[in-house]
Amino acid sequence: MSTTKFFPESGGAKKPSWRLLLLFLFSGFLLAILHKTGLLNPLQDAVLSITSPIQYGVSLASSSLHRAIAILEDIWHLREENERLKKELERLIVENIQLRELEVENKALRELLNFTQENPAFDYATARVVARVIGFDPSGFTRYVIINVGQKNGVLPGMAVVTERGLVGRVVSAYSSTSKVLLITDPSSSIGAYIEGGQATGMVEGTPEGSLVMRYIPIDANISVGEVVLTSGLGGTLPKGLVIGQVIEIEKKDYALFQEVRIKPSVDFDRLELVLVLKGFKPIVSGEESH
Amino acid sequence: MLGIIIVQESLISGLRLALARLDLVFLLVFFWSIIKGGNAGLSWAFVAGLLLDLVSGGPMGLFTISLPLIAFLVALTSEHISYTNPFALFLIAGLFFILYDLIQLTILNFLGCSPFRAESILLITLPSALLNAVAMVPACLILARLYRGGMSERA
Repeated sequence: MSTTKFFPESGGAKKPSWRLLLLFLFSGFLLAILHKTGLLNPLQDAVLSITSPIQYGVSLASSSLHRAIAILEDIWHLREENERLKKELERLIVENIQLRELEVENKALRELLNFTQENPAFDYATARVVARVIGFDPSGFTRYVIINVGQKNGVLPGMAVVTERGLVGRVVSAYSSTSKVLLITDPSSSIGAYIEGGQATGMVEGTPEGSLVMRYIPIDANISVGEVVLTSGLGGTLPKGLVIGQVIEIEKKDYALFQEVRIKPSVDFDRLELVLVLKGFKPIVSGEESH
Repeated sequence: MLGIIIVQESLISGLRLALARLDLVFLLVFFWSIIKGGNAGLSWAFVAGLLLDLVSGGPMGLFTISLPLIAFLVALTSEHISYTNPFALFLIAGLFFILYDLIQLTILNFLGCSPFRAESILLITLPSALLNAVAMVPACLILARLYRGGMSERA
C-alpha cells in the first residue's frame, strides 16, 4: 500500500520541540494541582454548562443505540430469564405479604416504645431528583458518570444515587447544572455493607473489571450464594438498607481472619440511563474527595 | 475536535466490548501527529487533552499530560518507522495505546484516584489496545481521505 493511502504527503515528519512538550507537561501538572485545590471548579462548571445540553442530546440519541444492542443481547437469554423471573415473582408475592404484616407490627411497636431511628428517614417519593446520565469516564480506569442535575437542583456532594434496582454510587462533585457520580464499581469506592439475614458485615469495594468484592467479613460468618448485600449506613455517608447486589462467590481460607465474597451488582451499569439522587438523606462528608 | 470529544464522552465511552473501550481522541491524535508532526501535532494534542479534561469532569491534567506525551513520541518515531504497512500501523498503534494507558494509570495513581493494579492492565488496557489498533487502520484511511479532501478544497 502506498504512503498516500494512509498518510498524505503534505505535513511530513518534523521533529517536535522538547521545550514545547515540557511546557505542556508543566501546564498539565499545574492544572492537576489547581484542580485539587478547587480553583478550577468555576472554569469546569462553565464548560460543562455549555457542553451538557449537547451531551444530553447525544445521550438521548445513544439511548436508541444502547437499546438496539441490548435487544440483540437479550434475545439469547429471554426464555431462561422469563422462567427465572416467574419463580422469583411467586416468591416475592409471598414475601411481600409477610413483610406487610411485619411492617404493621413494626409500626405498632415503634409507637409503643416511642422508638426513634438513628439515621434520618429518607423518602424516595418526595426527596429525590431524577437525572439522566449524559457522560461516562473516558479513561477506562475510573468508573464515574456525569448526570444532568447539579446545585441548581439541590444536589450536593456525598448524596446517594440510586435506581429502582439499587445503589449506583455517590455524588463526588456538584457543579451548577451537572454532577459527577462515582460508581460503586470504581476501584477507589468503599462502602460499609451487611449481608441480609445474618450478622455479617464488611466493606464492599469496586474492582478494575467493574465488579464488586466484599472484604473483611468475619471468618466464622455463615454466608450463602444468592444472599442480598445492603448498605450498613455505618459512617453516615450512605443511608442504611440500599441494595448493592447479590453474593455470587465465596472465598474462604482456613488460615485467614476474614473471608471475601464476590458480588453481582443489582444495577446494570452498562445500561445506566436514568437515576435518582436522594436528597432527603444528608450524608457526613469527610474531607476532600479524591476526584 | 470538541464534537469528537463530546461523542467520545457521551456515547463511545458508555459502549464497551467486554472491558475494551474505543478511544476516538487517541486515534485522531495519533493520526494528526504523523500528518502534521512537530509542534503542530503536539499543540493539537494539548488542546484535545485540555478539552477532554474539562468536558469529562475527570481529574484535571490526566489527558492534558498523556495526549501530548503520546503525540510527541509518535511524531519522533514517525521519522524512523514506516506506517505504510497496515500490519506495522496496527502493531505500533497497539503499543502506543498500551503506553498511553500506562501513563494514565501512573497519573491516576499519583493523583490518588485509581490504585495501580496489574489486573487493570490485563483486563482493560490489553483488550482496549487491540480494539484501537484494529480501528486505527480504517480510521487512518478515512481520516486521510477527509484530510486530502480538505486540502484540495483549500487549493
